[in-house]
Amino acid sequence: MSSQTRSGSGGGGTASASRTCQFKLVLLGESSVGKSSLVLRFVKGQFHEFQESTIGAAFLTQTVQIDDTTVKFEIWDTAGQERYHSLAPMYYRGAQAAIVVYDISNKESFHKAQTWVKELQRQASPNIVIALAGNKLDLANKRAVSYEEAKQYADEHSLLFMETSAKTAANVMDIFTSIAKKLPKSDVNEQASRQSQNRSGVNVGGANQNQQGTSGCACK
Amino acid sequence: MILKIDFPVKQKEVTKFHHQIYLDLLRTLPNNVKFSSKYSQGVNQLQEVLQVFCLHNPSIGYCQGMNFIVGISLLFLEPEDAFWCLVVITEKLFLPHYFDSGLVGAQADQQCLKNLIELKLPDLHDHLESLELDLSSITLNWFLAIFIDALPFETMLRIWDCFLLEGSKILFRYSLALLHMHKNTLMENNDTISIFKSLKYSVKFTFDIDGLNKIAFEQLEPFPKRKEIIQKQKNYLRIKLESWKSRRLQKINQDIIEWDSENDEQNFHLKIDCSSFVDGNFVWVCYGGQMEGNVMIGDLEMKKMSVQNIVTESKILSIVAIEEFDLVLMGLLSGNLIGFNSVNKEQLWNLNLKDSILNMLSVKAETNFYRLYCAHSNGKLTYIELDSDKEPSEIFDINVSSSPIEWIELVIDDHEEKYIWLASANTVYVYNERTLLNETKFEVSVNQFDHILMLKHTKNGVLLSIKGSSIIHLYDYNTYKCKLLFDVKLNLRLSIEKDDDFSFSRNRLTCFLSLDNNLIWFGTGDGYLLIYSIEIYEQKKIDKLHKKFSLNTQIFKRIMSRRNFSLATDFNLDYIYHERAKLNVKRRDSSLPDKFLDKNSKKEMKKFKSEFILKDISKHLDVPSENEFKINICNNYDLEYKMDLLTKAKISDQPVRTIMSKKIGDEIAVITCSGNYGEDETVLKWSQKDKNWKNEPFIEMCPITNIPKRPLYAKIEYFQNLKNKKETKKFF
Repeated sequence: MSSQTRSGSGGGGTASASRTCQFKLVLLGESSVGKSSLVLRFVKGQFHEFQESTIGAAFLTQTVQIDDTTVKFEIWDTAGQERYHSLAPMYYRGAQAAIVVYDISNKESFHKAQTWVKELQRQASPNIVIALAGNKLDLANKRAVSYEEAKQYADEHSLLFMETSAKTAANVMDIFTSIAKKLPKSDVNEQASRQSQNRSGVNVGGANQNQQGTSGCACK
Repeated sequence: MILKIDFPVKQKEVTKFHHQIYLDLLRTLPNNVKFSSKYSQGVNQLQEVLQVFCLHNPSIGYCQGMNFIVGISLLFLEPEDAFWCLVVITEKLFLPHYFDSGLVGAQADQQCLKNLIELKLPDLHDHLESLELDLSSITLNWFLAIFIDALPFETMLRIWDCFLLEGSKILFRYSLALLHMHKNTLMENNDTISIFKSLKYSVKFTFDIDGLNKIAFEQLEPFPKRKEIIQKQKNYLRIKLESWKSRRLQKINQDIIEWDSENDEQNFHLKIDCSSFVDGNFVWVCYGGQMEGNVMIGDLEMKKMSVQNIVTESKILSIVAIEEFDLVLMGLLSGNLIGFNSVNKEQLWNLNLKDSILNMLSVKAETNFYRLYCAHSNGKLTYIELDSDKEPSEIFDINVSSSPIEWIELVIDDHEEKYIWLASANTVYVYNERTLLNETKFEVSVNQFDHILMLKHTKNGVLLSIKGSSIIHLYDYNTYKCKLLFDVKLNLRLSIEKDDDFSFSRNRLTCFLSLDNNLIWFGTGDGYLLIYSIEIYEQKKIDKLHKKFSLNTQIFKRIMSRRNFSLATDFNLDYIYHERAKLNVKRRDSSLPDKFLDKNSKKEMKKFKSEFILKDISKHLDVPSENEFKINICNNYDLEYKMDLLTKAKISDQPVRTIMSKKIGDEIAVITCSGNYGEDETVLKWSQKDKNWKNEPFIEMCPITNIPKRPLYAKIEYFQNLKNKKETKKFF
């Protein structure tokens, strides 16, 4: 919301009709709550009953269209086992968004999700958009975490919250798109031009000039 | 046979990992017929082997990734052999601590790989470095799972053959070969996503085994010898292990503190965040919760302050005043930059800079022209030109780092050249203030997860400290070397920086300030204010050589550990130094602290020649040359710093948040803010009277009625006065 009020001040952004943004998103949560399955559903539209366990982290990408903006996600799907925890900062460092996943049929995984939220709020970039996903909605008959409890927790900690099912695809697209909507959109061209500014010192001419130079490659 | 053992159900080691193994059984090579269902033979064997391993080596137990290693082995081996294969891989071929808690071994190998990339593929290394891109998020998997799933199956098996024969060195060789092979593709790309994507897919389709072997064993020659690699691995392992331990300690401490502060938060949540002098006689103090920022303004003369009718949409993280324009600028958590008129306190404009503004700096360029720098949590620096109190139009961003920039400091060197020092994570970035070119960057600690709290320019150098620590560092602004380490908690000069000194503590520094007359003020997390004097001694020439030695070891140690080269010699030397020192202490009084050691070691170190030290270390180093070290030493050790504690006072139960000073006439006034809004005596004014520093609290007044709101005694006093006045009036 605040991002839209800003358009004029930085120069650029308004020139092209469709913009491209890149965001780094990380998935965190206990082992076998369905992090990889959520990503697989989102990226490839597939679901495997037995998704290979993730080692370290898996890297995937996906692009979604939000209004006139193309949002590119750089997704880091991390391993859930406790001892991989110490590697997590490597993946959530610099991430603009995170999905913390728990399994609605597993109370313990909800507690673990809360510690992840805490860690992110403490260690990750301060304006990171965090979404809480109660996965395995298809197992609602084995539910151990009530919707209200999780919703209340999410509201208190200002998280996006949805119950999802990678198996039935329920809410999977929604959770990613609602994250995309919440992220501040700055044009990738602008980013690229700013990056090049950084390397070559400062170009006093402002962002607009640079934008023309780099837009060709960055759009593709 | 081993595998026929019936596991006692209560066997602690097994049950601990049993669940995780169970979860992963059907998630291992699920597309292979041998592992496709829970009735498959392979799945049972997999379970058996993994469980036996947990019994065999409970300290490693089960780590995700081992399921794939055993799964692949079981395609070719009987379960018993697969078990021994796992034992050899985890206990012999990989570094210790590869798979156990923290995975430090695996992380150390990544550091090692990075070092080798820099050595063998410097152009790629530079390219990645310029994008601040860390390949280990991809390459870690290559090592942990020995290329399973990263390469085509055939190619992976070939590497496995070599790996089982030669050990983990081969993984470096092949990793470099793969990067070499696909280097051009990687170099063509200039953004993170494309690089990771192209790396992942081009590696996944590396079917040309012979081509890969050719690169690995011919083109990469001369490849570092096994011994060298092992030495590198061990050194990185040592560093990683230390920092992992300290991180764990830190985490425990943090949890305790968090628990404390959560309890506190129920009472007070309006933390004081920042403050600034405005128009000579006023001080603006910003406080607030996550979703709102408030301002109170204090009158320096009257020592009265009142809450203003200024409420911002989120926390105010930084505040800067430009008196020439009657302008006060506030940087918010939401990323908004708000301009206020300092006279009528009205908002002039509100500008969204997209990301939280953690710190700001204004530099006067010429009359009626200021440059404002805003540090953002996304690692960007925004440059803004201000020529009036109007909303600025000249704005652009500079990418500095991928971590938040926590502090900006203006540093003026001996030639009056202005630089801005930016603190981001554990790195200081130095930019030329005029050209905005990046001059250099340097790390101030070994642990990359450290964050610099703040920087302060003083005429002796730049002071900095790391969040959570009670140690102050003094950096030379010409050489960027650390000249002094001092632990405020222990009131002790440190010779060597230890990693675990940085564990989060209640006595941590929260802010500091340097005054012109060589005084340094510190505020701590437990509400203490400490005033130190810093003195400089010039070394006499005769003494110089000796001095060099005692400091050399410390400085070498520091330089090395900072740059991640703690190498054997350095260690040995340090060891000798300590051993000798220890002996001396034993002989005399063992309770004497640091200073004593320094003296002794000075004598001891006479025996070593400077050349010897330099040569010996440079033999093991490939990067810094002898000369470089010599320069560092010669420049620095003519001066010796000494810090003396003058005053220590408890001023709050909460952390001291800000300290700032201003010259009013001939006097220096220091303002400290501590704790939260709503507590008594949060804002104090300090002034010097006969060498002693005295403080006077600001009394908060109700802005409407102008009656003191708090503290209580002030209220009583006020009404008492009022009563007296009335009575005297009556009397007349």
